[in-house]
Amino acid sequence: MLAGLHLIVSCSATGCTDNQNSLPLAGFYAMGSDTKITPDSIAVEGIGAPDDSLLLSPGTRVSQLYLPFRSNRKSTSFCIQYREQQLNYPELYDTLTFDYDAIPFFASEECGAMYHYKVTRFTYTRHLIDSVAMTDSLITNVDRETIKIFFRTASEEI
Amino acid sequence: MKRMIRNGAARMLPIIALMLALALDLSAQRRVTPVVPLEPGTAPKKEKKEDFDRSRLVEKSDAQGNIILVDTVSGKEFVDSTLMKAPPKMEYPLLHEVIVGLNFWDGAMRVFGQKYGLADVWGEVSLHNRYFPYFAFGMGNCNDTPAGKNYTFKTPAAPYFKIGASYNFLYNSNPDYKLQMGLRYGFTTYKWNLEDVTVDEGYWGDPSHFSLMNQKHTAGYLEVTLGLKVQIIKQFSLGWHIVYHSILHETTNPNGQPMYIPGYGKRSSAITGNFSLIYTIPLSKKPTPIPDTL
Repeated sequence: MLAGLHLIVSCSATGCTDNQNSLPLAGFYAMGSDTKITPDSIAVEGIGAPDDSLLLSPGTRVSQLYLPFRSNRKSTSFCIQYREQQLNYPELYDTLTFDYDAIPFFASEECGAMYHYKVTRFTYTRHLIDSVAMTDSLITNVDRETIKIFFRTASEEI
Repeated sequence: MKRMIRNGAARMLPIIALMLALALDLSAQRRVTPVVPLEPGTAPKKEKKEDFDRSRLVEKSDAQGNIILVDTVSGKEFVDSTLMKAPPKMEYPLLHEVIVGLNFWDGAMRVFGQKYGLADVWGEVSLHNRYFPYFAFGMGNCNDTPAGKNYTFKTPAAPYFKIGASYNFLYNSNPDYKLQMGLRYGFTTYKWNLEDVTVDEGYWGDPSHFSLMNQKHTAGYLEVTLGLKVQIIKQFSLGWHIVYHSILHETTNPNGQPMYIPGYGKRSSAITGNFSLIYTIPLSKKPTPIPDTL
């Protein structure tokens, strides 16, 4: 009977339905609209990442991208490179920087412990980026888009 | 000639009789009995009460010694309800028993790998063997590093209290056996720690570490219990309860809510259990009547 009751108790756990880390999710938009775009010629790199590893490599078409913050720094920067032949000049690359406070947080038994990030300031260059917006300054492990990057686009896509 | 007349009259007699009968039948008034069917779905308003003659009844005893009345003509049996003894409302006295128990569910569950909980002692008073005011005091702790997770959660031994009441559905039966449903409010205030946390986003290659120490927490929760108590030997019984619980109130913490609450268990589970060794102290000096059946 005890073993049976233990089974009932054990089976009632819900599991983690959110992320197990606080990962900021950025969406790519065409300037002046709420239309998502899927650029196929940009690369995104975290500045200072080991081996210059990329978060997004050219040729991959996505409309959203996770931009993980460095949990042991107060600031994280990302470089957006345009690898299309006419635009592939380092002086046209854009840089996006986030300053934040990392708040230790215990989400749940299943999702674990992590940092929440309270973004205090963000800056960006405006070569091909028109603007950047944040819908919430608190980055949690809830899987939702909080950063919107608006690109200057001649046509619908870069 | 006379013979001819006699023969003619004899032939005419049946015809005259037939005509007379027809004339009489036509002149009689017909009885009209219209039949109106009931509307669909309706039932007769009254059932016809079966009449019986009381002079035909004789008094007899059945196998259990109860007096029954038997109709000597139809053979039907009747029970005189006025002779029946009304069932007693409460078989047992108001202050019937004091019951104390040790709930070692959490201790037993550690055999199955549970990493939290200690035990509680509880007491209740049997009122008419029906109502049971309840109080419990216990201690709970937690030291858990879930497999594949990035933290260790700890709660040093902390107290909790529960107050409530139970209802025994078998209140007029043998008090050695109880089927109870209860409602309880639990309260605890304690500290929790989150240790050895490693945060690795999987990209930057430099994971960070932190610990959260001495986080204060207060929680109140509700329990609905359903369980059995069975006498084992003399004054000792065992009790099994299945418990549905829900947090009513708790302090909010900007660093998150603890996964363990003393006396409640893990917050991720809505169901838990109790398993108790119980000792019963009779209060009534008179021996309690034990009914024939449970």
